[in-house]
Amino acid sequence: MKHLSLLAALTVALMLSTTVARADASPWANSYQLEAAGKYADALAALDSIPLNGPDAEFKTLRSAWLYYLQGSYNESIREYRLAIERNSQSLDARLGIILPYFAQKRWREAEQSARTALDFSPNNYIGLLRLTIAQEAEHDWKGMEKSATTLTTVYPSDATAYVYLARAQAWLGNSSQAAAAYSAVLVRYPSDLEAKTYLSKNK
Amino acid sequence: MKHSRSCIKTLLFGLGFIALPTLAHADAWSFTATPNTTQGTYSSSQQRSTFADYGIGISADYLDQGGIQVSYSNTLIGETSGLTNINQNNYMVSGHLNFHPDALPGQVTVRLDDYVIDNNYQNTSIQQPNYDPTSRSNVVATQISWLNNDKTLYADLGYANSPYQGFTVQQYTPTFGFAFDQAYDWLQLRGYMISGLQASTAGKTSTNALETKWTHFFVSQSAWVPSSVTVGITLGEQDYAVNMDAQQVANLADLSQGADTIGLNWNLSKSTKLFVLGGQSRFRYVAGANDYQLNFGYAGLTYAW
Repeated sequence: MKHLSLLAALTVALMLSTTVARADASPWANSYQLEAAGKYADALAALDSIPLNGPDAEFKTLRSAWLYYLQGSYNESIREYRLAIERNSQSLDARLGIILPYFAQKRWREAEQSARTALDFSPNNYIGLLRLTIAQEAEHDWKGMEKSATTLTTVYPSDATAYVYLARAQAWLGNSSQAAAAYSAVLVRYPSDLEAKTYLSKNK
Repeated sequence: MKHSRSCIKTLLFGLGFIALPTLAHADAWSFTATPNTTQGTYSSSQQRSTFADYGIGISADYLDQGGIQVSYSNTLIGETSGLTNINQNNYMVSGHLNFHPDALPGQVTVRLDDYVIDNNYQNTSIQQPNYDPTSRSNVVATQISWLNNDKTLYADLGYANSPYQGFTVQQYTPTFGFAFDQAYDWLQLRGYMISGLQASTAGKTSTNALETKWTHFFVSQSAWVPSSVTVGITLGEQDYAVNMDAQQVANLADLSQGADTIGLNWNLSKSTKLFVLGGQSRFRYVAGANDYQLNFGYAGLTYAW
């Protein structure tokens, strides 16, 4: 009985201390914890107290856009990313970020245009090039995809993903020997890649 | 009686052209131009011998947000028994807006078409030669459609209002389509419920029909292998139907009693596509108790930029 009372007291003390800690934590820390727990709407609500015209306003907009994206509210996510671009027209974060809800809604042309705009700001940016390549693949623009993937492999020669997209583009273009060479390059960088293994085994 | 001969089946294919706001990026707009022709011959017809249509369509789309089309074509129908050949101009303007609601994952499209028909059978009295109550019209058709994100399910509801001299035809077209066989095949079913017809020409005041289209997609690197083949079968009866897929208005008074078509699409290059279609439409000239057929072929070359 004595032990039970002690346990109860400890539990209450621990709960109180946790509550105090949460109350003391910054809205950002709360938001990160809630996101990690998969509670995206709560993570977004945790940012409510951050002023829209304060020093963190731009980051609040970007984070809101991300959290809307995670919870499947793609139109709200696009709206927030656009606000972030209006606030800071040099923001590469926002220009790359807005591609994600476009991908989710299969708006491939808008995704491609956003990626190109991001690359205008930062040529050879990895994420920009990769997302451009993905959009071109979805649009069946094999020539454009080949060009983007070739740039990726040139600028990021150690990246296996870049070679996967180059291989796919070559395969769609009917260049089987070049596709095989690219898939072989994938296996050098990532020996267990299933897609590369499958293609090479079927195209010996 | 003979005046009903002057009715025409009009073929209108998309055309588009546009001038719109400043663009964030040059690639925001995409355009297509499609010159096209349809050639046909009538068999067993007491009234008609040949069908010829030449047209062009231009379309412009802004990203994934919407677009506009305009088209023009000229239709010439060779008449028999000394009747004047029918010469008709067909104009079309179409606009659509796309929406992507999160609550209904996919693309919702709202579309509005306006078709203007104008031919040389414009005398307004049945006592005069070259009389045709359907020689002129301004047909308005609208449609709301939904396509899911994976492009495996499709549904739309269309409505068309076709005012002719002395009567107005209304048409409702519920449609459902779905992909199968790992999306290598597509089946689309569309109902045509048409009312407001004249019993004197159609033999009834309303018609119902079901149009079925099956499309198979091919995967090939060769430009000579078609990218898809589509087989279409229409069962039931239609009169003054508006086909919003083909952007056709049928201002033919005679009762359509079904059609069979087969179409092939080739991706000749990234920017050039060729579509050819062949088929037979069956009609009944009700007052003359004349069943006849139109055997036709269509070819359209689309260039995109």
